[in-house]
Amino acid sequence: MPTINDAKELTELFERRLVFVMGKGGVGKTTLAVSMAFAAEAAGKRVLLAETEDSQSVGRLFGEPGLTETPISVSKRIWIARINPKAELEAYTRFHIKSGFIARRVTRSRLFDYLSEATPGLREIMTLARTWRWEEERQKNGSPLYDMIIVDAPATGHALSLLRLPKMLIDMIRVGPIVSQIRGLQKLLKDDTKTWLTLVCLPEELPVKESLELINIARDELEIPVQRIFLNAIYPPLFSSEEAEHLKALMSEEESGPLFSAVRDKKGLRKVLHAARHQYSRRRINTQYSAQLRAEATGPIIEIPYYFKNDLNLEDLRRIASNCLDPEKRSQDDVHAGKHR
Amino acid sequence: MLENIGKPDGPKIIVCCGSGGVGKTTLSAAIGVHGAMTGLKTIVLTIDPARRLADSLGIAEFQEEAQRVPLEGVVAGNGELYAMMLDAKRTFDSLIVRYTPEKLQDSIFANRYYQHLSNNMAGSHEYMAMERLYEIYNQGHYDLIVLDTPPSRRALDFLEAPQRVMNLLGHQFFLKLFKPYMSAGRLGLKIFNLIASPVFKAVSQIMGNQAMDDLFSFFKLWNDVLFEGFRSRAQAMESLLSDPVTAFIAVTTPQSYPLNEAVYLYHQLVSRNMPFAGFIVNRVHALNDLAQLNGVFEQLTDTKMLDAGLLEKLKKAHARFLNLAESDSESIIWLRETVKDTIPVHTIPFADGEVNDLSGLVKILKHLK
Repeated sequence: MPTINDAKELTELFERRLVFVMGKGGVGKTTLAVSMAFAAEAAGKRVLLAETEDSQSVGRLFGEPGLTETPISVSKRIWIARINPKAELEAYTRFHIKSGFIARRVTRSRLFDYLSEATPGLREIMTLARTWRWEEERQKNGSPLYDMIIVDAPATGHALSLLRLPKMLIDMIRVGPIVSQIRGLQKLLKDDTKTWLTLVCLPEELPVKESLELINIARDELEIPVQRIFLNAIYPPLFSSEEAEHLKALMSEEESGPLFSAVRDKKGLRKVLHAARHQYSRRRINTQYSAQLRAEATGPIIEIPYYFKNDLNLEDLRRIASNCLDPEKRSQDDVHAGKHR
Repeated sequence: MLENIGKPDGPKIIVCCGSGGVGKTTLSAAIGVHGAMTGLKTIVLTIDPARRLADSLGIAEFQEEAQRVPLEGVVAGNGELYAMMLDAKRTFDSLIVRYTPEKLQDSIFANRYYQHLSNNMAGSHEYMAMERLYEIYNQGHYDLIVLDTPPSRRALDFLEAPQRVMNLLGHQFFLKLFKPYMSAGRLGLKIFNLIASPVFKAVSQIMGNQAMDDLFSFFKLWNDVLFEGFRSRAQAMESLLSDPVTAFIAVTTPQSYPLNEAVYLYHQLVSRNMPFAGFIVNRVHALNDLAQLNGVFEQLTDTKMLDAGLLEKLKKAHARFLNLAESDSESIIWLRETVKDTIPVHTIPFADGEVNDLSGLVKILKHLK
């Protein structure tokens, strides 16, 4: 099964204005969102990397745990922010209520507090509204303030309720000024020249299952298809299948077998063989679920190798950006996990 | 951690918490198997589990009704295992049916606010998981209930979300604010006073009148017929979770994000005086003196039985595994130093394969004793 290693897969991604990075908990959404930001920056884009209110991963990574909705610069062309639906709702209210006096009274009232918590979907719609407003922000010369806005989305279930909202609210509210605005937002989300959903997946059973479900819901129900899938943390191939067979035979060998008899450090040999077996077993599982994903999902899949580290730091993420997400390199990259099977 | 299961004063409810992707569901199933093996009639409540897990338990698929897991030959005495899949919307609906006069039910089900609340609102799944747990516990059909908490990014969501739902639905301020307008009689007329206030005008200008209408009619129903029932249940659930019949287990992997979440959960539970049974660190690359090699690679070279290429690969595989094992070991040391000495911390080695059958689940249990 060849990996489609087309540079276009990435250049097209970096031409979007708004990119959601989705996926099950623990699959590496933040890893991909940040690496994508580094890669887009390298491609000359001005990038805003935003996390949603329930997350602190981006802020923590950049040493900014108290991140707010005001973007701060963390690199030459990268800004980071954490979406705060309440602040957005206040901004929205101030914008829509002509009288500053009443606007202040409203935003300070307990009713406002309550409704902002309890009104169905208000937090979610304000999260989306924030990305929309960023998309519309312009520099003095009229060009966009951010070329690309990357959203490190919440875990699948919450992310779906987020994206379901515009339609739900349009049905629910039906008329009025807010509906026409939500329609505008919906238009942005459905415009695939501007907005893309991307999905991070691990080559394991549950993440693949959940990814396939999400792909279907996105296509059929949201009508915003998943455009790119990042298959994360793939164990790079190490042993050929002949070597694996050879090792298997050695492992089942008794201490009295030929190899064990020839080696004094029998305990050491067991440890070494155990480590080897672990890696080719993981590789085998990875290959099996990668194949399932490839067979059942449509659209390009971009592979990211496992880095044999528990926690990736910014340097590692820059490495992922340049090794796996650089369109120039990608077309000639032969160390990449996907090329060897 | 599991040693008290099956004893007269042992836990009757085990709640497995942890952030997404750490293996909560598989561990919950393993603990369920353990319950049955010690002779208890056990049920595992789970959410959207893996196909493979259903397979490994030998059932066709998880359903919303309790299903018996065939465990013949594995369980002791009267031990039995059941599995049930949780469905937030259905649980919510059945509560409405229980507490609401029949003539009002349809209008609740048709209410858009209710539809959102029961299915989409953050916290509703967690609330309903707790609700099911409470119901099943009170029916008293099972000796042990193992709850696999809903998937979320944060480990604490399960604890906080129900309170959040109750805060919204039982908000004192809300009652004060709306009650005068909600008493029996001509609702529309009474709401008029509220609607005339500038704050409200502004809010409905933003929200739309239709949404406000839905919200009001839901809350009128809520207040009239549901609130008392829900509130007393919520209180009962909270005290059940604080009761020593319950044991919370925090599941994590050695990575810093889930680990920090698990420790945060632990602190929260302790500060709320809730019963915490320990940590399970899943997917650990076991260190086991891995670094201690006594010349094995040199000796292997000398045997000339493996070609140089394969030998290099073995070195690489060992070095990689060692690297991860050392990092995992640091995480576990940190965890042990961070929590009280008396708190059990169990580690489960990162398996070579997947758990595909009952014996795989039983193998996991070995590490929890």
